[in-house]
Amino acid sequence: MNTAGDAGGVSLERGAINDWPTRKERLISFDGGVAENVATAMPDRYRFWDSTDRSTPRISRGAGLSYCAASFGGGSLSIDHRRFDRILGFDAERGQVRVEAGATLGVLFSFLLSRGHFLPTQPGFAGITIGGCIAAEVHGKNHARDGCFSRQVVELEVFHPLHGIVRASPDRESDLFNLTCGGYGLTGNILAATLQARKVSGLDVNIRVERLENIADLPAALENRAATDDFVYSWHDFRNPPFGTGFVVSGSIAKGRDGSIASLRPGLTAANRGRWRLPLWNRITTSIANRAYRGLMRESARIPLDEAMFPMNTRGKMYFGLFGGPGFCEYQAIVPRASFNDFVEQVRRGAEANRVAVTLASAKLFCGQQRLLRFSGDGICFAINVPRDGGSDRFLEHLDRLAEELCLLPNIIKDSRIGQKIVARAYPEYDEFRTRLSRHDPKRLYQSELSRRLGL
Amino acid sequence: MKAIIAGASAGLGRSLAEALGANGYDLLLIAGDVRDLQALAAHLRLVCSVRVEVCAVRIDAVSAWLDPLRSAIQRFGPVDTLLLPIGLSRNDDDGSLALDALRDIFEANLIGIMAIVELVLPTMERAGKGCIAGFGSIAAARGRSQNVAYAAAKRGLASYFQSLRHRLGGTGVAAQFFIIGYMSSQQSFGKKLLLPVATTEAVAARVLAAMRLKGPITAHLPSFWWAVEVMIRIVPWRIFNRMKA
Repeated sequence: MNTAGDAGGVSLERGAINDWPTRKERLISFDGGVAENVATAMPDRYRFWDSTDRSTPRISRGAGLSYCAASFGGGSLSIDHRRFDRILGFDAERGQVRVEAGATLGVLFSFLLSRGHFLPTQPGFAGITIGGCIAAEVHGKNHARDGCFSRQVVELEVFHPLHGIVRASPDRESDLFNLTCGGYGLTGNILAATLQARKVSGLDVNIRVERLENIADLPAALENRAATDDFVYSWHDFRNPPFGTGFVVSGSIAKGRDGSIASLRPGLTAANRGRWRLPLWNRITTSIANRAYRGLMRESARIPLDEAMFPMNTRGKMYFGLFGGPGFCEYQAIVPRASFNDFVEQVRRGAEANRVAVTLASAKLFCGQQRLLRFSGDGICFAINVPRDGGSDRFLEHLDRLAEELCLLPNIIKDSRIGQKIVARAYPEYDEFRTRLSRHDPKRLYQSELSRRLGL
Repeated sequence: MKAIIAGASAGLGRSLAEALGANGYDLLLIAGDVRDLQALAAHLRLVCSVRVEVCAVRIDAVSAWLDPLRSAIQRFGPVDTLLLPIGLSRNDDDGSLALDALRDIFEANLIGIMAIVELVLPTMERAGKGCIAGFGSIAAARGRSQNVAYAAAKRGLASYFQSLRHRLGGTGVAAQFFIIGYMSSQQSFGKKLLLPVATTEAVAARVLAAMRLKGPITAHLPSFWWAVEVMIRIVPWRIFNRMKA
């Protein structure tokens, strides 16, 4: 565990950020890998953004569900946006909704659904804020068809003391827009966004499950489903032989049932994830759980749309809780199709050599152009979870060594330990991002543990 | 159903607006910053499908706030409920504040509230129904060397609501007064407090429940603060003098 910094080190000028009260607290990344004592502020009025304080280092914080320390650390004041969580406008004709950045996906989902719309691209946690989704350029259930979160962002409002509040879109202030989507909160505080929603045809999802005996067949299986279905992902057993067998799960929104659903309450937080101190995931429990999961999987099912959109809201609580106090490590990377079989073989060898329990192995199909530090591109997006212990460190170092050889693109937001060297090699526009960020924020006022670790 | 909320932009005022909006009340929201008001009004119109008007005025000693507020209230029409979770406190309120600062504190915590009540009350009395709620503070339980002017103004407010309750007896209009303990607002953020902090949402729900009773009420929120206030009042001066922090 990396423990650094102290709230006492944060220099708050007299009159800084309008003299708003701050709190000293210990924040932890969702994966349990980084914890720091930091100062936080939780403004609830717009006059907070009138501040001309240009010297207090700061970073935005939403729900704090990032797997890494993107919203705290680095000597910065964490500015909690959760009081700015209102829905500001809805244009039914265009299907566009304007929200404050602290609004959660769950609240927005319930609101949009009551008006016959939804956001096609959203991650599995209902508690994540809109600002967090933009800053981390998250992906949804069918990246190959729908792209990343920024594809549905029509306009942003970003505050930086040097520039004031700037409206940015793909056509206006496009440089700031491109830097902010997937900019890890380093361009300023995202205050509000206008998002493009899509009409929804029903409130249920028809799920189809196809058994996959050989993981080498995965790329083709994902491709077959991604063109036609709304959600496509795979699940694999990396613990029981034969290695890598699993399922391709796809879903299509079923026409018919309409109405509205109750607001989705965010339940899981970085703080309560590790409340159960004792880690219970290990090679034995993973083996048993995987066998049980395989046994329970049905060929088809009809589930509510909210359950399909936010599986982590229900199933995730127990899954992540069982990692206990030490937490877990996630390695997620876009693997070029040409390297896919080698990647799987190396994961098998690494897991075996380091005796780690791979509790989750799951893939999605990615298509698109990779830019700046955004997690996007062509290939198979593969995610692996392991309990955090000595073996996990060695296992992840093994995967780090493969990154260059297999041309992997690791996901920055999912990995709280990944270093500057690997990111700089894997992301061709790393230097470009740094240069453009320095031009926008010459004093580098916006900092976090993540930005320090990656040399941004 | 229609309600006016003064101090609606954040904290308890915002939670009350959300609770009343969710219960179908049309709202007139009053606060100092039009940006906060517009954001909340837009949200409530969309999420609760109620009519929401705003009036941005700063209730202090120097602003000419009464006339614009009177016009906004007239435009909005007669209301059933007037909620006044409004106040102003300062960290340097140790008894040595300049006259202008003292006036601001008394305007926001007492005089302004009395003036707003007088704008609304005649219509309620004519209708023979309505509810007016004021919000006191546990800080007024006993004078201390901190929050000197604030506590004095809040003590005055308690007295004013007592008078209001007496004056309105038998008219059908209820005067309710809530004494608030620690609450999750900017005032308590980051402070090490000995007793539990209630969320503004929980306090708003209790206020709404009290409003439904339609009678004159004086209550502590959360209720255990009643016992705390009694304790604060009966502690001998010799001991109380040592409790400076």
